[in-house]
Parts: sequence; structure tokens; C-alpha cells
Amino acid sequence: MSEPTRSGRVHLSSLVRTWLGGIVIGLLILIAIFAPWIAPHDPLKQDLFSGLMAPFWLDNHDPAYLLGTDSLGRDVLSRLIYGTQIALVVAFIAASLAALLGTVLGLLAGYYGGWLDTVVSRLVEIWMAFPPVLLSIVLVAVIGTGLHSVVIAIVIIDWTRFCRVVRAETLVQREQEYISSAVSIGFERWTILWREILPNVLPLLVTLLTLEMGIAVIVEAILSFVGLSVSSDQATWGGLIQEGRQYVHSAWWVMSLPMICIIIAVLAFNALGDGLRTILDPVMRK
Amino acid sequence: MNAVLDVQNLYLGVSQKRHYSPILNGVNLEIQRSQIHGLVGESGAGKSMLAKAILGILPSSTTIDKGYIHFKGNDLVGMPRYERRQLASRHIAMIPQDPMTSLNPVRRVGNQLGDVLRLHMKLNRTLAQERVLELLNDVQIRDPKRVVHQYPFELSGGMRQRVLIAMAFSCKPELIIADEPTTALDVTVQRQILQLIKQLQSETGTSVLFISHDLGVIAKICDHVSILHTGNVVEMQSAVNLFQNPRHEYTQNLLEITSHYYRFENTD
Amino acid sequence: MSFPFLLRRLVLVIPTLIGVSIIVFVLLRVVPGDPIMMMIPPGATEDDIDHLRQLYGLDKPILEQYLVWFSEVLKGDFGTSISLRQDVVELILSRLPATIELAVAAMFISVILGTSLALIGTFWSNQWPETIVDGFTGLNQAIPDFLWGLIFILAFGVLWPLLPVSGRIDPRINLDLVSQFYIVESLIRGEFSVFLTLIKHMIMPAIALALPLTAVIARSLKASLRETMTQDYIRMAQVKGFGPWRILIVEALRNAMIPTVALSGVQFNFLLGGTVLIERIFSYPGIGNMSIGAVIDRDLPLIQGLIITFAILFIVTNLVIDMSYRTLNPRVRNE
Repeated sequence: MSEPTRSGRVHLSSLVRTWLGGIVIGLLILIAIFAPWIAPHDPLKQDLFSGLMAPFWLDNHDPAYLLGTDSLGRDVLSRLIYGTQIALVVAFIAASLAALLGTVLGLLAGYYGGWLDTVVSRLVEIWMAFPPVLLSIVLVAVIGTGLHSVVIAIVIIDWTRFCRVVRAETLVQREQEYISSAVSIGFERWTILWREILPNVLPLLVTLLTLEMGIAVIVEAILSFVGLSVSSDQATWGGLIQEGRQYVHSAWWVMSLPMICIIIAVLAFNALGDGLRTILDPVMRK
Repeated sequence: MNAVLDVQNLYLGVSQKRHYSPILNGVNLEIQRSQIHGLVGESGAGKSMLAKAILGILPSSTTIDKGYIHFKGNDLVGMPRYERRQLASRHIAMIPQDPMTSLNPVRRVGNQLGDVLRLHMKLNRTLAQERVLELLNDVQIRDPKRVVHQYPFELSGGMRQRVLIAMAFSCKPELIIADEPTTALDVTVQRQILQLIKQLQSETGTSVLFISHDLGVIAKICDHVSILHTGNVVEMQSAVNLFQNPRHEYTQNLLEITSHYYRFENTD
Repeated sequence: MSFPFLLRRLVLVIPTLIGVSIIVFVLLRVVPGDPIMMMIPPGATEDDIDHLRQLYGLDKPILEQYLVWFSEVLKGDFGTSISLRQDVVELILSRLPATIELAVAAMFISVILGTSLALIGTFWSNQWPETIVDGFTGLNQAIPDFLWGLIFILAFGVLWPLLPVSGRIDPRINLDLVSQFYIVESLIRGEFSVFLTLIKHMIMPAIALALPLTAVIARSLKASLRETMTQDYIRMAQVKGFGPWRILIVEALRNAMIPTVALSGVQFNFLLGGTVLIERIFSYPGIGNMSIGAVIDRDLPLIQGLIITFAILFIVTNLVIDMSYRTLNPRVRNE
């Protein structure tokens, strides 16, 4: 996307996308933090007499429940707001930990090479042979449900995304002239790794991290959907989808609203990640 | 008038980010029937742009602002794109600068040649295949039967240029534009390729516009020479006259530099 | 594409498969929920439990368990499903064709659709069709297959009921097909009404599965087409007077496909993995759907068999991709 004549425009549009993504994510963070104050109802409070109320733009709605209620009469809007908390917590923690693990292994494998590189590359290869969704489901089934196991599952599955890229990039960087000059000046290997190579893979890493947060939101939703995420009475987007799926024919909106939330969050993380890629990394700007 | 191609008062420029820079400022160029016409100039003088303008493959940022390119009684500049393609592609061929990148890497040599014949000479598959073998034979490729089944990467640079020359002459064009056809080749291969172009040209009577920055090469092959300098043809003469009696100051300088170069570097 | 190449590739696959088997085995041996406890009827005695433990070999040391299990696996015996009490291999084989048909259909759709989009975006580059193609790929790279599945159910199953939302075939149809490859068999036999219902059932899950891969193919192919279109041989083809579509398809496409094929291997794996959820969402009777059931039931032998089946599918897919890469690229073809 980069004839010289167009690069100005591309840059501008990616700037806009980055800001848009950043603003949406900022808003989601605020919603998550202030959930107890924003949410009009207790997300767990049931009201069996007002189950499956429609949202405000349809007939048969109750002004008290802006986005309607689920089958147990719980306020959908409040559940969505509280669902933001879990989605974001999983996104930030799981993606960061996966990035940390993948980066460390990738840096070590790429820089030291030898048997370490062989072992890591082989591991990545084996990992790729697992279907990720199935693996995450199996993992959570193994370690038990709950927030921490969702995080662990994402880390165990997705560290390879970072490892592959960081290893390849480290291999390239290692051959660069400035590294050999750093070696000849007599820098310690760790210092070189830390001070010379890491800053160079950082732009790529930030991009991957942002994209991974979007993926984590999806994985959490998948696990909630299968019923393997946090306990079922806690409000999650995926859980709400699963619930809505059961009575989609009578109340289609219960399933669609959390889907819209997930799509917005994922698109925002992607816009931010793609935008950062074009802005941060002069090499990938081509 | 016996000119195959007649370029008159051609102005052409590139606009980039609202900035316009002229490349050709009123170029006149006339190529007679069965003539090898040299076009000489340093890099950046606009030789390639002139060639691209004639061939109709100017980049989208480049525009022709004024002037005519007369070919077979038509003005190529004003012609609708489709008609122009029909006319120009049938009667104007090209020998490219870099034979390494000018053949499609994933298609067999024989098919690439055969497609051109089927498009322009309306040959069927079998006839085209036979004709391809003849053409490869004409450009002195040994074992054409093997070469037609090969991919470009299996051939040397000289071989590929021979294939491209065969392609250029395949449809008996009226004009061939050879854009620095020997620059990318080894010195020994250069001479063979020049000889080949000259020989095929004299056999077929096709006109050739031979673009080069190298007066030594021009001297070996051309009948007439135009000197392009800062977007203008500053001198047009027969080759013999030009080398003996250059009129323009720029040509004189160019000749002087070339003779120095040849004294030291080349003894043939 | 010579025989030794295939052989070498197959040999290279062995360590990966062994690695997969070890991880699957170890992983599932640390399950906190004891599968035996789920099988026993209420009121079973300690002896009954021990007996079951012995029956499934769960009382031996883990290395021995692995070696026993692996040697059985090599003989093609994955044991007996705990929850369904049937031979694992038989169970998987009965469901595998459904998944293969679905995955192949999805792959086919994504290759055709992705390639068409890339061609359209390149042909009309810097014009509105390219903007639409870019928007479409951007959206599809972000939205995962299972969300598409749900969106389709919502749109064409509920709000505008056009297509069936569950199963593989209309239950009212009397099936007398001999194989599990329903689509292939109904086509061969010329039973078009059966074929039509099969397609109707498959179209939503297949497209949902295909969309993310479509986006990857469209995006990467468009980028390499753009690169290819600046090459000298494309300029030569223009000079020779070939039409723009012919140049794009005959001269540029094959060259541009080489890097895309090399890159899309991983993405095909995601598509295969996607069958797990998509089959669940559409109640489609394949091995993906079966996997979730097996996990929920903690059916160890079945889970092990299924994961290894998926790994083999993945390896086969990559082998096919590798071979098409070699077919496309004459430079590596005869190495």
C-alpha cells in the first residue's frame, strides 16, 4: 500500500485508525473500572417476572431495562458492562504474559542458537499441529474453570505467536553490523540482548501484543460460550451469547448484543495494532 | 515521406505530490524505414520515457502535455487506449534492458513465445509451436526443442536475451524499440547480441530505435543517431557524419569522453 | 514432485507426531477430575473402581501407561471411549468424513473467494472496488469464524429464515448412503435432492469457517499481486498487447500466489481448528463437535484420539500446501 504518491494518505488514515482504536479501548477501560457506578442494576439480580424483555427500540420493553433482560430477568445492559471487566482483564493479563513468555524464549533461541534454538523451534512446530481452539478447551478442562485457567490457557497456546516473530527478528538483528560492533567493544551478551536487540523488536512486539489482546477477548468469549470460563453466574460476553443462543428464536437480541460488544472490542484492538504497526515500524511501513 | 515513426514536438512530464517536473521539452524524432536509429543520452535525459511514450506504457504519474507520435498514419497520443493497443502491440515490439527480469519466471519459454504468435499472427497451437522452434533457431539458440520446455531461470542471460529478441522479431513488426539491450550482459555476449540484432534487422528490414548511453555500441550498429540532452534532441545526423563531424557542443564532449574511455578500456 | 520428496516429508513428520502424542498424554494425565469417578454407577464398591482402573490401565506408572498406550496407537488402537463405550477409532472414523467435507468446502470457498477479491482489488486498484475489498478483509481478519457462525444463524436462521441452522441433513430424509461422505456419494449417485439439502445445511458453517482464511488470502495475494504488477515481464506483456485481465490472471497471478501459498499454511490449521466451534454451533455431526462433548465428559481415550486426528489432518493439509507450492514454483519443483 505504498506508492510514494499515496503514502501521505495511508499514513493519515492509519493515524485516524490508531486514535479511533485507542479511544474505543480507553472507553471500554473506563466502563470496566466504573462498572459498579454505571450499571443500572445488579448484573446478578434475577427478576423472574420480567424475563426476556425487549430492548428500548422494540415493542414490549420496560424503560427500567434499557437493553432488555435475559430469561432470568437479569438486566442485559448491566451484564454487558460487567462483562467488559472480565474481557479486559483477560485481554491485558493473558496477552502480556503470553508476550513475555514468547519474547523471552524467542530472544534466547534467536540469539544463542544451538540446541536451545532447536528445542524451541521444535516446540513451536509441535504447538502448531494442535488446533488452538480445541487445545484451549482441553486445557481449561484439565486445569479447571475460572479466570486464572482461562489466562493460563491463552498463555500456553499463544506464546508461539510471539516466539516465532521475535526469534526470526532476533536472527536478523543478530547479523546486523551494530551487534557485532557491540560485541567487539566487549559488551556482555545479556547487555546486548537487552539494550540492542530488544528495542529493535519492540515495535513489532507492541503491535503483536495489541492484536493478541483482541484474540484473548475472543478466546475468553469462546470458553464462556462452551461453558468453561468463569463460573456461570458471573457476567461475561461469551456466557451471555451462550444463554441467548438457547432462546434465539424468541429473543434474538440477547445473543446479538454481546456479539456486538465483542466485535467492537476486537475491531478496536485490531485498529490500534495495525495503526501502531504502520506508525512505529518504519520497515513495515512499506 | 518514408518515416515509420515521426515524433513531433513532444512534451512530457511527471507530476508528483502537486509538483510537476518536465522530462521531454519538444522532442522531434524521425525514424525511416529499415533504419537502425540510435538514441543517445546520459541517464536521466529522458530516453526511456520517450520509449515508454511510444510503447504506451508510461507510468500513471506521467502525462504527455503536447505533441504527436505519428505511426502508420495515426497519432498514437490521441488514440483511444484499446485501438492504440491493437495497433501498437501488433507493429511495435520491444527488446528490454534486463533479460533476467523480462520473461515470466513461472512459464515455459516456448509458451511465452507461442502466446505472442497466437495473439498477433492468429496461428493455432501446433503451428505456433513449429514457428517457435524456427524463431529460436533464427536467434542461434542451440537445441531449441529443449529450450521451449525450459523455464527462464534455466537459461543464461544471453540466452534469455536471444529469446526476447526472437519474441520481438516474431510478428514481423515495423518498429522495434531496443532499450539498452546489452547493458545488463557480459561484454563478450554483448557483441554477439549486437550482431544478432543487426543481422535480423537487415534480413527483415524492420526499423529499430536503438537506445543507449554508450556511443561505442551506437557506432557499431546504427545508421542514424539522435542525441538527447536535457529533454531535447540536440543533434540528429547519420552515424558516419556524427562521429566525424559532431555539430553540437554536448555531442563533442560526449565523443571526447567516449574516445578516452575506449583508448584505455577497449582495444577492439 | 518426486517420490523421495514425499518420503522425506513423511519422515520429518514423525517427531512432530510423537511430540504431539507425548503432550496429549501428559496433559490429560494431570486432569484433576478423575474420569473413573464419572463412570461409576452410584453405590459402586472400591473393588469395582479398582477393576475399572485396571481395565483402563490407569493404575500403572505414567511412563508405562504412555508406552502401552503409544504401542496400541501405533497398531491403530486408541482404546474405548469412556462416555460412549465404543471403539475410539470407529467413533472417529464415523464422524471424520463430515468434518473433512466441511473443511474441504470451506477451504475451497476461501481460496476461490480470496483469489477473486485479490484480483478485483488489484484490477481496480486505487478505486472504489479496492476500498471495498480492503474493508472486507479488515473486517474478516478481526471477526473470528464462530462469531460469523452466530451472525449467520441470527440473520438467515432467525430474522430471515432461509437456511437450516443445525445438523448435516434434513432428518426427514431417508438416507441409504453407504459411506459417510454424503456430499460426494449423493453427487456420484446423482441424488440431487439429497445433495441440495446437504449443501443447504453446509453453506452457513462452511462460509463462516472460510471467511477468516478468505481475508488472509485476499490480503496477502493482493499485496503480492501489486508487487508482481510492477515487474518487467508484466510490462513486456503489456507491450505485446495482451488484455489487462489476461495479464493479471495468466502472467501475474501464478507468480503472486507463490508467497501467499507459502504463508497460508498456518491459516489452514486455524480453519481446521475452527471446525470445533463451528460444528458445535451448527450441531454438525463431525469430530469437532464430538471433541467438545468428549472434553465435557472428560473422555480421555476419545480426546486423545481426536487431538491426534486433528494433528494428522493438519499435517496432511500442510503436505498438500507444500506440494502445491512446489507445483507453482518451477524453481523448487525438481529439487
